[in-house]
Amino acid sequence: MDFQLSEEQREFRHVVHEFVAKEVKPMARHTDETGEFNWTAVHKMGPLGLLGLEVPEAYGGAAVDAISAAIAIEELAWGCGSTALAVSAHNGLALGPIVRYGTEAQKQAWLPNLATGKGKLACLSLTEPGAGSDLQGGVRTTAVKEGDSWIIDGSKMWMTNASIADLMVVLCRTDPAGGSRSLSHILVPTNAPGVSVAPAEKKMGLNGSPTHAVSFEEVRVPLANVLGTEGRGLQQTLATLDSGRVSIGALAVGLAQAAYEAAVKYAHERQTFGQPIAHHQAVQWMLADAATEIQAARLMVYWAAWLKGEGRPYTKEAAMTKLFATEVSERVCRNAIQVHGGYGYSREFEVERIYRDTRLMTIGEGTSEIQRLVIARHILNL
Amino acid sequence: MKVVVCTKQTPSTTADLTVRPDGSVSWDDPGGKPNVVNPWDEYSIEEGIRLKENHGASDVIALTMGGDESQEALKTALAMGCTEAILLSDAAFAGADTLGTAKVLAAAINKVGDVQIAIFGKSAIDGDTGQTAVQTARKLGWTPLTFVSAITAVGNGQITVERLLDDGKETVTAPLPVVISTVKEINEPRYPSFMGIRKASRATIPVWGAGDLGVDGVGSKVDWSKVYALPAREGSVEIIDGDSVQQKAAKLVAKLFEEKVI
Repeated sequence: MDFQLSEEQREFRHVVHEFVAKEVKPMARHTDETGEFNWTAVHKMGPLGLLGLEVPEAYGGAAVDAISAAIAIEELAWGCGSTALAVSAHNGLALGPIVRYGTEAQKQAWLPNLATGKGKLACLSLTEPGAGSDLQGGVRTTAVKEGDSWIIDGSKMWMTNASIADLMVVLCRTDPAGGSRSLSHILVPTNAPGVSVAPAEKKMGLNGSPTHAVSFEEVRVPLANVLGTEGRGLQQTLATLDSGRVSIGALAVGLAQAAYEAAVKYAHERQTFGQPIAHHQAVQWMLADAATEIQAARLMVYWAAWLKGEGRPYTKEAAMTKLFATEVSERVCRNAIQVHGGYGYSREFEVERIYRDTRLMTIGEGTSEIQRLVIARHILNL
Repeated sequence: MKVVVCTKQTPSTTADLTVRPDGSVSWDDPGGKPNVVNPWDEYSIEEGIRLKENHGASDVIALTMGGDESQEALKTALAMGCTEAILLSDAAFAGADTLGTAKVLAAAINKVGDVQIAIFGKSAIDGDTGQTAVQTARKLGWTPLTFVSAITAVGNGQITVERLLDDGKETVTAPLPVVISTVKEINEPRYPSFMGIRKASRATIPVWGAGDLGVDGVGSKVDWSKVYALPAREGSVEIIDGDSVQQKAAKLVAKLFEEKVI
C-alpha cells in the first residue's frame, strides 16, 4: 500500500493548481454572478489536456490515469464550481462513453476537436421532465429507424453544457416494448435541424455552468450514430455514471477544500474578545472536523478512481465516494459560512457561492438517496 | 538551426530571503512552495519553442547550471515543449558568480554545436543582476540583443528583433549567431501540457561537468565580504475618514502634498 501520488501525478496537480489559481479562481465570482461561461479559461484548457483527460493520445487526448483525472476536477472545483462541472460533464459523461463504446469512425469524427478545445464541449442527455432516477421506465424520447436514419422526438431536462456543446450523447428509447434493453445512446450534433435548446435554467448555484431543457423534433441523424450497442443504452449509462460519480466526488472535495481554506484564513484574521477567532475552541472544532472529513473524502475519491483505473468493479465504491464526499462538502461549506458569521452570508465572500454550488452535488448524477440504494443493493445482495 | 534556452531554477516568487546571524542566506517559502523555473525564463522558453514552431528551428535545448535539484526546472522546460535538456553540474561550479556561469554556459553552447540563437530571461529573480546573458555573449563572441520584446524575422543568416527600452522601442537587425534576453512583453508563456509532463517525467537528463566542457577556474571574481539584511521598514497606517468618497480623496491629496509625496 502506497499513499503517495506518483511524481507524474504530483506534477499534474501542481500544473492544474497553478492554472486554476491564475485563470479560473479569479473569475469564479464573475462567472457565477453573470452566468457567462468562462470560455477564456476553457479555451486555454485544450492545449493543457484538460478537455480530453482520459482520451487516448491518438485522438488528441491527455490519456491521464483515473486518479489524475479526479485530481484535475478537484483542482478545477477549488477554483470554480461552474467551470469544474462543465469540464467534468464534458470529460466524464460525454467523452467517456465515446472513448469506451465509440466506433473508430465516431472517435475520429468527434474526439480530436472535442478533446483539444478546437470546438465547443460535449454533453450527455439523460434526464427528462418525467424521468430522472427512473430512466428505464421513464425515458420517453424515442428514436425510430427510417431508411438509413434515426428520427428522434422528445424532450430532455437539466442538460449540462447543452448550449456550449457541439455534440450531445442522447439516451433514447429505441424499442417501444420497454425493459432494460429498450434504450440506446445516439450521437446528435447540436446543430442538427429540429434540436431546440431552451434558455439556461435559473438555478440556486453553478450559474456559470449552463443547464437546459432541450427538445427534439423529428431530428434526423444517420443510423451509424448509435453509440455502442443498440439496446444497451441503460447499461452504458449506468457504467458512465459510475465514472461520473467519482468525478462529482472529486468536485465536491475541491469545493470543500476552497471553503475550508477560506475559513482557515478568516479564522486567523477575524478578532473577537481580543483574539483571532482561530483561538476559540468552537471554531477550532469546526475546522478540525472539516480538515479530517475532507481528507477522508479525498482518499475515497482516489480509492474509487484507482479501482476504475485498475479495471476492477467499482459501482459500490463510486456510490460510496459520491455519497460521502458530497455530504462532507455540504457540511464543510455550511460550517465555513458559520466561521465567517454574518460575512459568510454576504456575496462579498466566496464561501456563500461555494455553499450554493455544492448543494447540487448531492443531487446531480444520482441523488444521495440513489447512492444509498446502490450501496444497499450491493451489501445486501439484492 | 538549433536554439538554446538558458534557464535557472530559483526560489518561488513568494519565498522570503533570510540572512542568518552567521551571514549565510536562505530562501524559504512560507507556504512550502517548491523552487521553480526562474519566472522570467518562462518567456524565453516559450520564445524558444515558438522559434521551432514558427521559424523552423530544429532543436530547442534547455540548459541549466546548478545542482541535481535543478533537474526540476529542466523538466518544466521539457514539459512546455523543449526538445532536449542538459544539466551543467559539477562541484567545481559551486559558488560561481555571473562571469563563472557565463563561462560554463558558453562552453556548453559550443559543445551543443550549430547553435544560432541563445535565449535568456531578462534576469533571475534571486540574484537579479541581469548580467549573465551579455557576459555569455561576450564569452561566445556573439552579438547580444537585450530586452527583446518581439522577434520579427529570422532568415538569411540574420535576425530582426524589437527591443523594449525606457524611452520606447527600437527595431534592430543582427547577423546570427546572437544571444537574446527577453522581457515579459514578448509572449504569453504556455502551461506545460499533460502530454509534455509525461514525456518530461520519463526523460533522462544528461549531466555535463567541468571535464566534459573543458572549463576550469570557474569560481567567483566577486567577493561577498559581508551579507546583511536590510533593516525592517518602519511606518504606520492611517485610515482616512470622511463623509463621502470625495471628502476622503480631498483629505488624502492634502496629506500627500503635506508629505511632499505629490
